[in-house]
Amino acid sequence: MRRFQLWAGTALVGLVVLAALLSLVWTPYDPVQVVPADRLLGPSLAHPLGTDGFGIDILSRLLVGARSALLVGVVSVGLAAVVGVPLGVLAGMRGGWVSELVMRISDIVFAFPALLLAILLAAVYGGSTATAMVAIGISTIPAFARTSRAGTLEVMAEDYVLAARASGTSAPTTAIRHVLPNIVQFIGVQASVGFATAVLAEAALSYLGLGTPRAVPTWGGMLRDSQDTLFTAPLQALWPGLAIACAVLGFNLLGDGLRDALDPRLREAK
Amino acid sequence: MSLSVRDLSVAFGRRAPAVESVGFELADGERLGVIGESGSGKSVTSLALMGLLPEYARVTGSVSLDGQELLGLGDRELSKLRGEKMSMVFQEPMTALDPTMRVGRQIAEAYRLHHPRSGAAAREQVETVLDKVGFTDARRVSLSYPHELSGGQRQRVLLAMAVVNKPGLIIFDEPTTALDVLVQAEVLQLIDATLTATGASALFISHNIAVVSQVCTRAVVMRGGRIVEDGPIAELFEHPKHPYTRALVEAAAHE
Repeated sequence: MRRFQLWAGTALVGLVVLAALLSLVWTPYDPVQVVPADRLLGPSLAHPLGTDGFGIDILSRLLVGARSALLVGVVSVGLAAVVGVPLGVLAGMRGGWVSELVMRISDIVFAFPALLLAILLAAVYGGSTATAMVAIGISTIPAFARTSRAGTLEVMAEDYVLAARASGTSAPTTAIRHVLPNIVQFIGVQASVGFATAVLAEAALSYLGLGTPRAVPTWGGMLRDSQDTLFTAPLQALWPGLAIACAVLGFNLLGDGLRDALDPRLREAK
Repeated sequence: MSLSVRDLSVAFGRRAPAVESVGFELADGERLGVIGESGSGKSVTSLALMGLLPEYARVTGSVSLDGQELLGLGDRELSKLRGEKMSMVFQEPMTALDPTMRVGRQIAEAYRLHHPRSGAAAREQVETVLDKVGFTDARRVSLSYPHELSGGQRQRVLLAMAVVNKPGLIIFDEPTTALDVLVQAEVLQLIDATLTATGASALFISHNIAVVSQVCTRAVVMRGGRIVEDGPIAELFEHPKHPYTRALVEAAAHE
């Protein structure tokens, strides 16, 4: 079961990555060129997934949409990790009021809805992929801070941290040399789960028109476009929905699989 | 190096102090045993000497190493002293080495902290010091990860790490408790030989008075955070004054 999760997750995520890579060099049709004559075609040999309300090939848009899903995932998770991990490690190592401060601030950010933050940013800076990434990134920071703090607390209880300190390693050096390498597995798991959340959030923001501009193909944007003709062409909504589900499921499975594969206690039980 | 501890107390939060008014003197090159059961405050004492207690611990009194007061020093100053002037060997060889790092690199890092810009010299030093703690295949050992070594081997690696900078004071916190009896004897001999060779002072913490007697000539007995008796070990064995010391001696005789 454990191996299955890891492999299925890798396969699904691999599919999304492949689609994104493929779209860089080839798509069946132009993903942004409106062709009024081909509006709302059903699946056929020429258009395997049909066309949308603008006569654009859905498969082409789907492939290009993978790009923005991954971009948003990588950048927002990266942002969250770069800010959240050091804060969590600091909180875990210092304890006391530093820890209280970091954790309470992260509680506040955690309680603030990501969607509201995105609307706020979009209102001030205008809706774009960048504001979506920043909004998703900021709201994911607490998850990384908490995970890193928990991991750090566990590592700090180990004698090798004391031993390193006893040989004269300063606190910052101990953090980089001994704490980080020993919590990297927790961070990896958090990252893959964060990826899934980011893909979903980006789709939601694009759907609301707060993220990537309408002309650029995104899965969320495709869902929004399909809404107007949902009853005449229901399949149109199915494809981006499936793509989102596939990516989210893939990253979640990968996260679970990684956690199980990397947990030494579970590994020994095997 | 000489160590002077006076009126040392440690308290955590509002609980009763873990260590209360502990004091002892350690002359240059001398070895002092600290005997007591778990919870007697002996490990807390050693961590307090190294300045390794968490920040919320309240430490009062005086600890001076060769006349330099250690309490109240910042992390930066303490980091310079740790490893260079004083070092520590921990109880659990299983957990006292970083599982993600080859042991040679861990020893090398400990050396380079106090000898910056010394890549090749550090590598040489690692092999020399591994040789000294009885490894015949120093190169192979230095390339091993901790989980590839046995408990006794790991404890010897820890000893190597503690002596690589030739500190004047080494604190041993139950260094043989986690080891098999035979390995224990071997490691004790090694500790004894290493101390004799380097002339370092040592604080040797153990719950076992018989083990302490193999390395030290003088000891203090701790209970409930206080020192209840001190003196030459032979004296403690033959004329234990405190009932607790008497119990320890009897326990050692049965073992």
